[in-house]
Amino acid sequence: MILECRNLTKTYRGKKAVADLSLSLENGKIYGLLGENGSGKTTLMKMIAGLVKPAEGEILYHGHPLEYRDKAHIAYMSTEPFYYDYMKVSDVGRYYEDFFEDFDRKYFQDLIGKFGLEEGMKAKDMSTGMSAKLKIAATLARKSELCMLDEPLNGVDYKAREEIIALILEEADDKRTFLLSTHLIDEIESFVEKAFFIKSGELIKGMDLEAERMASGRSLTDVYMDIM
Amino acid sequence: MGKLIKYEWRKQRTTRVVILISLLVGLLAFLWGMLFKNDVFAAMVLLVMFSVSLLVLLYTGIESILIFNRDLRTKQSYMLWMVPRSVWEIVGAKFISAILQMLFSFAVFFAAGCLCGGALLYYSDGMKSVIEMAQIIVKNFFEEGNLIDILWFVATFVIAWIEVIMIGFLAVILSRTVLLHSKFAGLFSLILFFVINWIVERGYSLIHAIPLFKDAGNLGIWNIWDCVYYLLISAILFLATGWLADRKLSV
Amino acid sequence: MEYNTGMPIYLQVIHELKKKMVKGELKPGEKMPSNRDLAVLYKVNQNTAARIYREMETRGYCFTKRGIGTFVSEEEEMFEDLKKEMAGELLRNFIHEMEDLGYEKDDIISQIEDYKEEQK
Repeated sequence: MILECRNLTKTYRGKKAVADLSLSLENGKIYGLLGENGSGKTTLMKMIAGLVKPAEGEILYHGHPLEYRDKAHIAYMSTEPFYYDYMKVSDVGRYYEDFFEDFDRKYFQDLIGKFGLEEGMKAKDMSTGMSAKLKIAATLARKSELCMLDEPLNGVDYKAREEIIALILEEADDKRTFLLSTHLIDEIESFVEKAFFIKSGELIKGMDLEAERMASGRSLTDVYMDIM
Repeated sequence: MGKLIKYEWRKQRTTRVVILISLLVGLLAFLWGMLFKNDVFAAMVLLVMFSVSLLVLLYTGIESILIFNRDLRTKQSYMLWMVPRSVWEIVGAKFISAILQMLFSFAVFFAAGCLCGGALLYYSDGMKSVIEMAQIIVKNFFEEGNLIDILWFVATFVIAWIEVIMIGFLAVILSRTVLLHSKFAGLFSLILFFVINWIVERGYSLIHAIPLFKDAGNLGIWNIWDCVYYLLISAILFLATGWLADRKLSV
Repeated sequence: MEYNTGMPIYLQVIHELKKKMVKGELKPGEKMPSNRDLAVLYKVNQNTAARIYREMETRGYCFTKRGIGTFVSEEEEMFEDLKKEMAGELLRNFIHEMEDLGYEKDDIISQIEDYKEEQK
């Protein structure tokens, strides 16, 4: 077990964004985090990333309470662009190299080339698609133990989507754990191992995809339609 | 820590460039006035440069508070808070780069002042008087011990200003933590800024009312206890800011 | 590859690989893709890829050389068996479906003959 969340709760302006949520992640698996907008997926990821402090409950990373040093092994990519306005693609690479030991600059540059981006491009002036590619390249180039991608398939065209999925599948070996949130359930159906369904901040179901298909012949989409 | 400071320092680069360019323009204008014996113009330029420099020094401090606020409110905050560094290092780096920025502004304005002074002397009395003046200043500062006075003055000023920035940091972090759910967090933090400032000044007057401190610390015209007091307050403010960020901050 | 998402993915990939073996796209003794490549190729995760090879190995379709990779079985007989097995499976499904529609065995045969005539 790499990560365990116990009874996490977070309230924003009187409304519970995450409510008494417990789940655990095992090493070397790909997890899906599913739910509508505002259901608490992002808040959960940000808590694991150490950006948001839970009001109640605790997060254990490899059995110890989450602390700032763990950020060295946990990568988080937010839905929105978050790089500094002045940053070019090359600055983003340098920043990650400066702060993350697990960052592979060479691999980052490969990905940048693969995605058709250039080192001199300014992050601020990029289109949604390019910006999404830059984020994913920087985040995946961190060979982090735990990699959380919030809507990695948003805003990119079909070809880029397939490329991103291929990258994730290439990188997700038995040493790395992935947690993905997405609205495009069809896209992740074939490779996600376990899905968590979140509604109004609560975990309403954890589903082992292959086991469910074997037992009831229901797909991820079927279950999603049923319970959400 | 060095890397954090590097990126914090980078965030205020535009301001430094603006300062340098406007100083250069000012200096050139002043020299032009000197060259063509347009004394009124040159004096005007000096006056403008002096008042602008005061404003800029003020702004430099405020800017670091504004950047801190931006680093807590916008998506860009992830950049800062996703790095595997402790809150103390992050806030510390911000603090140090705020001081560096201020020292930078101070230094360039001081250099510009010296240049203007030198140029003034040169054009009125020639090179000889510039050298004489420099000798007088050196003699005055280094041989008669006035340098220490000046340094104390600068130190007190810098420390007092640091303390004001620290109050700003604390006010910002308060607005993003304990006051987060209030509608008027921004307004509250502004009020808090003045309230904390007022409290600190009250403390200052109280200490000065104690005869022991009043007399014991006097070193020429500057009181060593002023520095100690402001440093102590800054340390407390820093601890409070870091503690709040560590316990309560969500970006 | 298009999946029937209501059926276990790993079984569908195994089926696909078996078909490739029967069709000769995967030849006896040929090296198969690594877990990683298989994962990307079939859009499955690497654990599923490993499971696919594990299953295929226990059924004798392939074998693993430690540190080198997974290879297609070299036994010619197995390929024949596989072909028969897959054909049998198709036939079984077909007949089952036809019987559901109410066709008797003889009707089915004549239907097939008619179909072959039409295709000419």
